[in-house]
Amino acid sequence: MFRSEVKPAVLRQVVDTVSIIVGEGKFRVNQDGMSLKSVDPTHVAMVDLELNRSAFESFEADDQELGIDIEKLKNVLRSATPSDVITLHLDEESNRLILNMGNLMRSMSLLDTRHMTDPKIPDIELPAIVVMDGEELERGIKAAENVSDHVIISMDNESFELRAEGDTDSVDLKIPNDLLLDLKCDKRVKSIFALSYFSNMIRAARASKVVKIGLGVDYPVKIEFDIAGGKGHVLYLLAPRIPG
Amino acid sequence: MDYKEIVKTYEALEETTKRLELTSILVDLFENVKCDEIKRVVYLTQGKLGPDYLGLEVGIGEKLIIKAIGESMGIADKKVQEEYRKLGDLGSVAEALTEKRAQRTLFSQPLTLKRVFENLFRMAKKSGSGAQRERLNLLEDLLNDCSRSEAKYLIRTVTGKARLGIADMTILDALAIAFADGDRARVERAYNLCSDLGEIAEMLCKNGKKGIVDIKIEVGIPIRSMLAERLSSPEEILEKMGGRCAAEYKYDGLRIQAHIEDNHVKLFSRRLEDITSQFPDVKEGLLKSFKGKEGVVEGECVVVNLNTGEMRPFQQISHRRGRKYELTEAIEEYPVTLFLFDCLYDGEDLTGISYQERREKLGGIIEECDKIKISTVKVVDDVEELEKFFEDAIEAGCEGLIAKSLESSYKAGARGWQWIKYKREYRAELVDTVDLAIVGAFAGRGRRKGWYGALLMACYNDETDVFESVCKLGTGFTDEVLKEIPKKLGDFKRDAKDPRVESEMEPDYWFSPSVVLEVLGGEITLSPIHRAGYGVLKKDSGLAIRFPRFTGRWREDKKPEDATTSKELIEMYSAQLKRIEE
Repeated sequence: MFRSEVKPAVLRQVVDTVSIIVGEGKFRVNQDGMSLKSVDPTHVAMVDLELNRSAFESFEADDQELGIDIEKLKNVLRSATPSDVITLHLDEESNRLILNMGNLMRSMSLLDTRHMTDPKIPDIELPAIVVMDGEELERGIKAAENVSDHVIISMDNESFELRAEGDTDSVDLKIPNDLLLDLKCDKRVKSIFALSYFSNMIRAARASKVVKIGLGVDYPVKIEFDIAGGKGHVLYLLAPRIPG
Repeated sequence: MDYKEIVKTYEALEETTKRLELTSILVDLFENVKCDEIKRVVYLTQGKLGPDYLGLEVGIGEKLIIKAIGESMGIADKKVQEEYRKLGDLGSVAEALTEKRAQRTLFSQPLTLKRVFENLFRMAKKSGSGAQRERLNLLEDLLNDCSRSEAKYLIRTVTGKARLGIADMTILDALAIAFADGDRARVERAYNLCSDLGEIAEMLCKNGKKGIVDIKIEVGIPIRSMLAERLSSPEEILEKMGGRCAAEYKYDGLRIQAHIEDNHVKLFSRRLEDITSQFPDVKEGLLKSFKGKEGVVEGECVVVNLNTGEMRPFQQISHRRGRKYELTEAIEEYPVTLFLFDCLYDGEDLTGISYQERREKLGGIIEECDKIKISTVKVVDDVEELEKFFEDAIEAGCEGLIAKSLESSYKAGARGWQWIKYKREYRAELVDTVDLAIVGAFAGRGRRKGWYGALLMACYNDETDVFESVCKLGTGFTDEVLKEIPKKLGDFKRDAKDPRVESEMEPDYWFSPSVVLEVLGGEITLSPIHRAGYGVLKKDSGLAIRFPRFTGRWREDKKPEDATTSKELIEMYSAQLKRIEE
């Protein structure tokens, strides 16, 4: 049994955060809400999403897995208006997810979840943590994309820095400690990341304004933020590039 | 089993070219593989994902492979391409770049043989929009966990250039040694009947020699074709055959093995690929002609002119291969006939009985229709007869003859002296058009019913003042031309052959030589039937034009005596005679 009502904006946040990692998602629903853990096909990036039942207008679910084609869901959301409340329910007989918004009904067949693995979130201890405004970071990312396909992130106890170096051009965004919401960093850390993933992650974080980033030396980055007005939480992990 | 185990074997195989060493390396490998994995091992060693008839291909081009290498290693495509230009082989590129890998992953999983095979298999099965992206993902998933040498062999497998130099026969050798006490003949027999080395390996691994005893012909699973040796003189052929043999027309087309069961038909090429979808017309024809319950028959598929029954040149069959679009148009434009020559199964395995008996069985379960015919055959025991039949075959548009021993069984997968090809060594291309006089006509069939279907054409012998027949012309006529011909010929119709006409062929209608047409031919050939230059080049032979086609030009400016002369044809033949390069 699965039946819920949800505002389009909340569902859209879910779709936006997940779709940058995978095209097909295995969502787990139970009485507490909805969650998903997915790793991208190349094992470079991972998402861990949790959405409390209070993020929904109403929510009832037995413990089960729903295999959902994220692109399809994205398309369905295009036909929703902000004032709609979307009703989602599982038709167990046909194994389809039925979405109702206003007079519009959309049904989509569920995917077989047997081939979708359950990734273990690696246990990662990161020496440096920064909490900052996502919008400022996005400005730096946008500029970096023009000069390179990867970005160098570094921190020390005084500032957070993002650098991109192209063949001829470079971009540098340096935010001093007093403009950051929080900074814990004992020693200088630095890692390099593929912009294709990093920028999408930062963009997905935009809606929450506040982003928490954990960083190490040539080590995966952890990006965390809230969604659905604090009733949901997203964690991304992204493996670094280490020039060979 | 880890992928690196099999890669180690590949590396060892690459070190040697000696067949015995290759075999013993493979024996080691097979003996150390679990039976539930040996199938995958065998396929990957063949550089495949399954037997050919399943048509499994990874389906990823060079460009995407470059992209996969770049993405998985975090290296720009440009750099990967640069490396490719330098090394010339994508496998080596992947090998070299693995060390320069910049992009790390969050975790790695062991690269097992099973994982490699399953990812490749899933790549082959993907279709539709988004398939390319999914294939990339599956390949990158593997590349992420590859060592240098694993990356090299993985990419080579994907590009279809496994380059191990391992022939199926070497694998058979190794399987026989590993599991069948060296009984190579029995293993090969199983292979010839089921053509799936993986399947055979698994049966052998599980039950040894006993495992393959029960391998039988199965409708739907191709049997490896019997092949022919080649000789270039009728004397040698008859000698090899013990003085007497069957001679079959060797149709110049596409060999097809047809499997029929109830209403299902599957067609396989000589390389055992499933080509059913390209020949729905042949399938229809077989359903109509096949009178048995189930069966496997073999034949040669040739493009024909449906109105005259003439065979068209070999190249035209290529218009029917590998088509996905405009199939209907191709079927109409290039209609084919399947000329059946053997029957391997009719509910019973017939490969063990004699050629003669198989031909009888074939005649018993096939009722000819316009799409399905039984090949022309003649039992011969003398050189001259064989030679004459050969010339008949050439003129009919065939490649030559196949001599077959009357007592021989069907030796699947084998090339032997039971079948001997007799093809021409020389051909004389016709580079110019010729002008020929109409001396006779044949009643039309099919769409040409009620009209003349084909014309008997003659050249002029200016020494004897006689018109000598040189070809039957049925191609190149538009509907307008077909309607015009009777009008133009009306006044010249005769009840019997004109005394100035020399022809062995008996058309349905005779005409006095008068109307001249411009004709384009494929080549000039010796003919036992036509009379042009009879006996000049060879005793009892004249010249004929193969694959003639009306250019559309009525040579009204020419009298029949202005037609191309026999002497000119003889000169053209001698000037253009060239050795056929194989």
